[in-house]
Amino acid sequence: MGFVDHWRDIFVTLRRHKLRTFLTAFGVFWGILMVVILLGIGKGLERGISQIFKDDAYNSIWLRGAKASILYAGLNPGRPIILTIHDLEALRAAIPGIENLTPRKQLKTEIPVKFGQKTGAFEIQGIYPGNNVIEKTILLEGRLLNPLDVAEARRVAVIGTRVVEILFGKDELPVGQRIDIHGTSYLVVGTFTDVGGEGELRRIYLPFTAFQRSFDPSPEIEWLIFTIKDGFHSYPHEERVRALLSERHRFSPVDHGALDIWNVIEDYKKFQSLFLGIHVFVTVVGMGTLFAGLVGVTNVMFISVKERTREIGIRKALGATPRTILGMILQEALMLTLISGYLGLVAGIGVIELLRSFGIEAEYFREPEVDLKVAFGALVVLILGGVTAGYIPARHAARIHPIEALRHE
Amino acid sequence: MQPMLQVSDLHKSYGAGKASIPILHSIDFSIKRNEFIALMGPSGSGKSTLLNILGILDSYDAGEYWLDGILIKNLSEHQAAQYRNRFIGFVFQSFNLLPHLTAVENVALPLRYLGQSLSVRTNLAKSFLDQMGLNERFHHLPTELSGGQRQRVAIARALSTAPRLILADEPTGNLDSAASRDILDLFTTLHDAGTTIILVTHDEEVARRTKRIVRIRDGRLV
Repeated sequence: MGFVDHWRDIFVTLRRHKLRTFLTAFGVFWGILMVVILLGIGKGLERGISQIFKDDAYNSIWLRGAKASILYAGLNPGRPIILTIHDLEALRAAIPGIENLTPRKQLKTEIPVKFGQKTGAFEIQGIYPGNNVIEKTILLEGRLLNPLDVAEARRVAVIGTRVVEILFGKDELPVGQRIDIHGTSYLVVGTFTDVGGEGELRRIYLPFTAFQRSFDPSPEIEWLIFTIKDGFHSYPHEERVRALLSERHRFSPVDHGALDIWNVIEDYKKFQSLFLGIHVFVTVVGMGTLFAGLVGVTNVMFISVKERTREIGIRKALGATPRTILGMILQEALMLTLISGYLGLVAGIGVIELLRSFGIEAEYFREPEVDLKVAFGALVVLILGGVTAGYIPARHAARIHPIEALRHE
Repeated sequence: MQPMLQVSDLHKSYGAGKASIPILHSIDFSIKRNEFIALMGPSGSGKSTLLNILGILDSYDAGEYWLDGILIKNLSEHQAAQYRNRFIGFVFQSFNLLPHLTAVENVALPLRYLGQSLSVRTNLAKSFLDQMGLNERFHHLPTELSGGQRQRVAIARALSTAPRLILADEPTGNLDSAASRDILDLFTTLHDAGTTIILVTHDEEVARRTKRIVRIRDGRLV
């Protein structure tokens, strides 16, 4: 009484009820298809959003002066708040758990930069070395800026790959060359790339102090950026920073318009919980759909058992044990779920791959994919589901009394 | 010689307590090897119940049923199925062939439950069908066969596991007179070859073809 012996019976039974078999199989097929597509799209969303956080350190806080929006200490609203390099030092002294502090000072427009005969207009930024961490700058050749560059106001530059392409020939090594930035000669000490896109690759980073000397000696800075140390994530940095700067610049501590604050870590946390939400949603909806499909299988198997009562009676009279009958019905349910589920899995992966090959991408969506672990998991769920869906009708069939079954018409 | 089949003081009733309805009272009889017996009685006489007990499809309340030296009592469903498979060959009035299996597959089915391999059971099934004169009908479905042919397939199936006992329940009830004669001739041939057969009928004509007639009325042998 081997496993294989049942296959013909099963095929014959399923074939005799084509429509019913098709509808049931379709239920499972659809369930798995939806689960796979949902999971694939969920993955795409997750990848799209992680891409946003890939560019910059996820635990950073970015500050920029804006305009006071509340009358405070006799000072009118609408007054611009301008951050300075002294604010940065004040923050460093007063606020615990922060590191990689950097100012960012840049000229209002792109500036012409020359190397030999070639000229290009690029974004010039004066920074501290902490910027390397915050921007996740990827060093290609040479070195990145270091504290000595800033302390000594060295005229050195680290340039992006687009800058290299525009200013240097194919065979020229940029590191060690001198470039002319708005009339001042700077030594290229390194080249970098960044996942932040074209704009960031057109940048030239200079030591903050050298930038001041060459272009703008004022202490004013456009951005003040820092990261939060591990272990300080629950510290209310945003509030403390606002409070400190409100004293220094005399704006209301509750004036949320005075500073632009971009708290990446808060966004990151929000997206983390969004991811979790997406995962739960996808899982619940997917499992629900799948469950509906499996209930369909149970139903059909019940009908099938009912219809075959007499056949089961004959088989029992001829010597089929309850276990044999149980196995027969279980295998039928299992085959129905496995074949249709497998097709659903393949179709789902096909749809996701199609989406991927068309390169459907948006800011929050890229490279949807079904990972093997999920596919394997779905298969396990299917097998378990098939067995579960078949078990109740199968047990019912196994308990059919042969005498009554033989009388059954 | 030890009887092939012995029933002593067999009781059977349905229901429990005061509502219980007695069906069989103190049935006693025995059958020797290679007997050909007709079991006769009007409907409601208890002959179907007796047949079910003899066929190990039903249990009984008191007494003993010995089949070929084995006491058939208090069996689990699993054991009952195995005993039916090995000891009993059934021939039904309505043939009870599985409609989606071919003649060979129908005959091979009990052998499958016996655990025979596909090639063994196919060969055996073919040889039994051959004996029934159906060597040209191996791969026909039941619907493609005449009533007489179907009953012969069913007889081949009943013989396939070489059972101790053939139980035939009104085997000619659904057949015309020519086919009936044909089937009864076949039973006679099988009996001559040494098979033990109990044939249930209410047709005196059919009963007369057997060697002994056992009559049952109101749950008692008469």
